[in-house]
Amino acid sequence: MELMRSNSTKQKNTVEAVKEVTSKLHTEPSLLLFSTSTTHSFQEVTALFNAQYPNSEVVGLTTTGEIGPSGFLENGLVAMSFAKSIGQISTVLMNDISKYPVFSRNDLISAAKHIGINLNSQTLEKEGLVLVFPNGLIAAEEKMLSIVNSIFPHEGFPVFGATAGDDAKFIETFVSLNGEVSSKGGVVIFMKPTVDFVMLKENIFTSTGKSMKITKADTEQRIVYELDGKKATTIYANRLGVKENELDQYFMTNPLGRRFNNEIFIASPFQILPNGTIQFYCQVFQDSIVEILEPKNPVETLQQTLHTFKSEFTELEGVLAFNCILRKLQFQSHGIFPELNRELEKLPNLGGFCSYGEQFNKSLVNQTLVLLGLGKKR
Amino acid sequence: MLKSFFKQKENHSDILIEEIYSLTPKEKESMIDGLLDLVALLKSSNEKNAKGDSVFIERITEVKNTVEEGRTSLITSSDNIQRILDEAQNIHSITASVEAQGEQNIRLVNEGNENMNKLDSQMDYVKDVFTNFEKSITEVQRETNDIIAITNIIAGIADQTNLLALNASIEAARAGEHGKGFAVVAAEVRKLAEQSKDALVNVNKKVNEIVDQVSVLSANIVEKSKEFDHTQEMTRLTSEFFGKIATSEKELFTNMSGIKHATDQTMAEISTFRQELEAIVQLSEQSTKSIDELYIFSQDKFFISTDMTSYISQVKYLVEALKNDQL
Repeated sequence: MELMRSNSTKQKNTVEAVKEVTSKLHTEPSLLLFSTSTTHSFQEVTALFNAQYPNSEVVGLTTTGEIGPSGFLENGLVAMSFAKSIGQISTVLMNDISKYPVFSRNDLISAAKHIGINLNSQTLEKEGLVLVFPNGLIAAEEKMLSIVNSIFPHEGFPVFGATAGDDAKFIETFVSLNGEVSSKGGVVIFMKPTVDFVMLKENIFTSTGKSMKITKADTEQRIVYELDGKKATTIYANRLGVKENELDQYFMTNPLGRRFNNEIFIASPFQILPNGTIQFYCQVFQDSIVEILEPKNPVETLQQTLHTFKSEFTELEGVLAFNCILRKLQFQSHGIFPELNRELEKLPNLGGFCSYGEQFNKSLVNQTLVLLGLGKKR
Repeated sequence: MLKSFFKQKENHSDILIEEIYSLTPKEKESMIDGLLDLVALLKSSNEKNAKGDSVFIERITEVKNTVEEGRTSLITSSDNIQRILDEAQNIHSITASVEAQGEQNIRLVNEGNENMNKLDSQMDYVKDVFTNFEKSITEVQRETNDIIAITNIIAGIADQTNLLALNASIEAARAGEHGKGFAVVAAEVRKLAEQSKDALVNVNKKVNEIVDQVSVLSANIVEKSKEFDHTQEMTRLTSEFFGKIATSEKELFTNMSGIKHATDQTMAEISTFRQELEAIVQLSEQSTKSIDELYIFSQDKFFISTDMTSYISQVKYLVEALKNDQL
């Protein structure tokens, strides 16, 4: 029996779409995960899935583009089912991740303990994993992550997830757990899988070698006021060699990166605020050095990533993939979806979506593709 | 206020809640103000901490770059030294080969010299043979002259016999019929005398031919002897040259041995130097590993700062909620 199944549809009628997408899934899975375009009513989709799977954990979220068995799709609906034999699963809806994620801390501890995760283990990476799906546009991912990670006294519990989207309308996103819908909360799924899993993060950017120092920032609000002691937009545009009033056109292709040794954590600029400051998709710290990045060949990079990813397994049951909205826009502008999909469709039981941020262990990352594969490791 | 709570060895939230509920409005206001101040201080400290982390990472990056640059230079130097070692090894092989060849040359030159000496001795012997031969020729010449003198005497005798025979013939003619028999004898004697003279002329002629040939031979031998002396002189000179070549080869051999020894020593020193460099490279690799650990540490600190920001933000919201009496 397949441990994971996935399906997608571009059917516009919501009832038909749910019917079509569930036709190839498990009839009574342990977990049902769906991601939907805002072209469908989220409340309706949630209700339909919950009605069909009353004995399963049903988690859903709005997206900004979906990823199904054939790769990227627009205005679609994607669902994945996880068989009971994949392992134990417990879920929590953190109601307010923007202000009071700490209120959900005890629920998180209970949920993790409920499926036998030893929170005090010294080898947390062997205890299981947690999937997190925060709402977007409320600058709450780090807060949610900080509370989820806080239940483990030691480091190393694998965290994987992505932020909900709203088809680039930037108004409101939704998540749901077992029928309950939230636009301020986030869903947490603890898993104690019976199979192996591998997480991988793809970065399609490389440093241009041009660096700047953040000299004034509001970390919590993710705003950078000054770079190298001057107005942020002036310096950013100057270093990039573009006009200041055209800077936002380069955010997608030239985000910033904070380097930790050989690893670059991408910080994507979200928008230029009226006062000339720059707001980011993740927290930015004052006095940190950031480098201007430039894209590598996405198709070649994906081929290499998938080769590395697949070579980790002898058997791959299924794959969750979350891709940043900025990458999606970049791929769209270059018209390379067909080439990328030719690579992605080789993955078995693929499901996921394009997100407003990706969560990978302790960090919220931007402009990244994160992959979670379940199966038998080599 | 909150005295009983802080006196507790363990935190009991129920005691805290009870204490908070029993606060007077003024005490509550003071507590909230204090909490807000503390939140602001925590925020400020966290920001300072994060700034410190940023500076820390900046410095680590500088140190790492310096270590990396140094390491790259060391590796380049190590590679260059390896090339020098390879070249030195090549020189060592060439010098060893030249040294062996020099040794062989010395042996060949010595053999050549010995052969020259043998040739000289052999020439001495041949020269003695020539000298003796020349003496014999001179003796032959002298003996031949004696023969010529004897043949001249015999020729005189033959002439006298012929004259006597002529006189006898005249006397026989005078004697008439009676002298006829004697005349015949005299004629025969005269004939024999003339035949003897003819034979002597032939002998003389042959002897003269022999004398001439012996003279030519003698002259040739003298001439060859001179050439022989010249050749022998040349042989001695060649032998001397062989001696000089042998000395030169020995000098070359000694120099080559010196070069080989010096190269060996240089190679040993360079090898030691390279090993020391390798040790430094390993040390710098160790430094890089330590720096990598520092990076992981700073990355963790970065995440802690992120968490701290989130926690402080939540505390701030909670204190504000407490102040406003609503979440």
